[in-house]
Amino acid sequence: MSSSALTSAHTRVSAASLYVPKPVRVRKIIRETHDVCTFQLEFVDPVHAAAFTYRTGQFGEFSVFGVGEATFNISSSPNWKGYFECCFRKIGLVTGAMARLKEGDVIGFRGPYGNSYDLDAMHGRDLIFAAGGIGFPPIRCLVWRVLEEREKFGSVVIVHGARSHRDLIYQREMAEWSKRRDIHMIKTVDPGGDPEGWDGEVGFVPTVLEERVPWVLEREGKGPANAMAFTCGPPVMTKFVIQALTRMGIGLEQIVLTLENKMKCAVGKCGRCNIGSTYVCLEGPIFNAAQVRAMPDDQ
Amino acid sequence: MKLVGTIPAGRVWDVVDHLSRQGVRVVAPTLVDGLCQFAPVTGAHQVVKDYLLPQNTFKEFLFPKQERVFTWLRRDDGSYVVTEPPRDFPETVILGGRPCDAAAIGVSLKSVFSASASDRWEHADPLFLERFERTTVVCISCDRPDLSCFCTTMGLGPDDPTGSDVLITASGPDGDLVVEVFSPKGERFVERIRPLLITGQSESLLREQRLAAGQEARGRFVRVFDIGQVKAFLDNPENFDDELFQRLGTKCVSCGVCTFECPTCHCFDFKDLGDTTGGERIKVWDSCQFPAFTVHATGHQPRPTQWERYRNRFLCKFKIYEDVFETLGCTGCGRCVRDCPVHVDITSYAMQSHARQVTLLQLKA
Repeated sequence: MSSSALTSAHTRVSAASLYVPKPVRVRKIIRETHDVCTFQLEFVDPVHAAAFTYRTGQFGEFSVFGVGEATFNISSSPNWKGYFECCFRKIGLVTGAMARLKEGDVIGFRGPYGNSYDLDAMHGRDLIFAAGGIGFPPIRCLVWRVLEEREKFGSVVIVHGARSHRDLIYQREMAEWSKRRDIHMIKTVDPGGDPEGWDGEVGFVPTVLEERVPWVLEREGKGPANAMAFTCGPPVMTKFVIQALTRMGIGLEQIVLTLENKMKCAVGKCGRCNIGSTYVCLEGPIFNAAQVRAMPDDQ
Repeated sequence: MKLVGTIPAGRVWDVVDHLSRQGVRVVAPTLVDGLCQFAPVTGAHQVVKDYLLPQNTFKEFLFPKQERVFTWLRRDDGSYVVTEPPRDFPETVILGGRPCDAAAIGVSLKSVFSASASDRWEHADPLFLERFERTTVVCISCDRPDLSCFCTTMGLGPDDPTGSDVLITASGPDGDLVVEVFSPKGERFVERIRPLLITGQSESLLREQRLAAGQEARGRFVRVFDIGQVKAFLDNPENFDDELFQRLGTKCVSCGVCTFECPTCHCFDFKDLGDTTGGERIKVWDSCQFPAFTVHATGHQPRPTQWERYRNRFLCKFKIYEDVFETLGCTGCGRCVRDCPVHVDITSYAMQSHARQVTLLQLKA
């Protein structure tokens, strides 16, 4: 058989099959909450490790052999060397199996996939990060990238919400960020989720965002025109976050979302993650709110 | 295109014996469980000769219902050996394919599993593409449609060569089979069956007879609509919530037959067989008609009702395929119309979308 068609750009075939994961070792497990874990991962094969790069906001497919594969954002900064992170809530089969793993265990990884945040477009802008629950990791990788070059950006406001104080993840780094004068760190829990002596806000992320953020920006002499907002969370939360930001005068093009549709292949073949004609795995997961608004209500 | 000669009427299935003797796997219409299906055959006697369209498509010989993607084995130290199976796919001839399936599989499905033609992504699936390289599609033109066929409406036809390596058309007063070749794979097929070919006739006469045969069959189609109007209707986001989707889709029972019989449906899932110590991951057909297809681990369901899931299928065929994979999403084979247990009819969706679009244009004018 001739292989002429195989060598054309259109049907280029990689040596390894598209869907085969590479073994990665769980180097460290951080139990963030009762049901959320962060894994620090490193490639078992140094050749794989040397070849691996990713951009902020991309995602991967994580396998527990014998259980299956699940999709998570890579929640670390690409500048961290020697390992990368994912963060997941124990909620399904794969995440349930992952939560039972120990440090030193080996899982599979494919990736990175998808587009990434446009850091250049953020230079000089005032940045609002608003995320709830397990929606925070895809924002957290970006927060760290911003903090690594803090001087390139304007104000930084973070609204981090959860159902209750027990569900707040990244507590240690949030505590560090709270101490910094160049970050406005707002943590909030849903009504009823606040214990005695709770020192944060009580209220849903969109509500707290709308009450507090304009005031913070105003105090620094900033308005909505130069702001950019980044959000990830349950669909109902992001919907109301977009509405709140719009009322604050922030345009849809200034609002960036990372979408989290169900995926299997992550490479545009399995037919699962589309919203209308948009394959989230190929064109996303990161979109601005104007792009999301133009998509059909199939989310 | 090259017209290479004819095979006498009634001799075409001798090709099966001829190729089998040469060690080529032949897939042709044959009886499986009492149904006419594409399956491997080794002799002409196994072939169903009077058929219109086998119940299955031949896509499963390029994109199997299930296939191993890799195996894993855990070593004593807890590390894993991950192994891909060899991709030693057999040389295969699909004999007696129909033009609708050839266009669907050889062009549309191939686009999905290839890198983007316009460089929008580079992911290519070697499992499909390497099988494709070793598969020759030899179609026989249809001499008639049935009531569910609508390939002509989709811009194709009973004698359209799109996606075929070889097209064979019964023509002329004796019904001799005119053989036309469209690709290097087709050339190699003709070399293999040369002893069966009759050459030296007047090419212009054969061409004339062959075109007449195609025209004759083209005149018999009944399901007609304008795919341009359908696409225009679907391109308008305001129409996403048109009442026709709920009205036509509510009765769908979510069995998924339309998707499994469809030659362009490409959706699949991965399943792990085995346990953490050893096993295999398989790629298996899946269907957008099942609620579990899109439901998030959190329970969030982007398409909570069945009519929304069928709307996605309709959009996929008449809009999404074209937008994303830059090719036709439906080739009008009619299987989903023919075999739906509750008569959900994608051409009703198309005809009503077409009618809506025309009405909307008139209202604007």
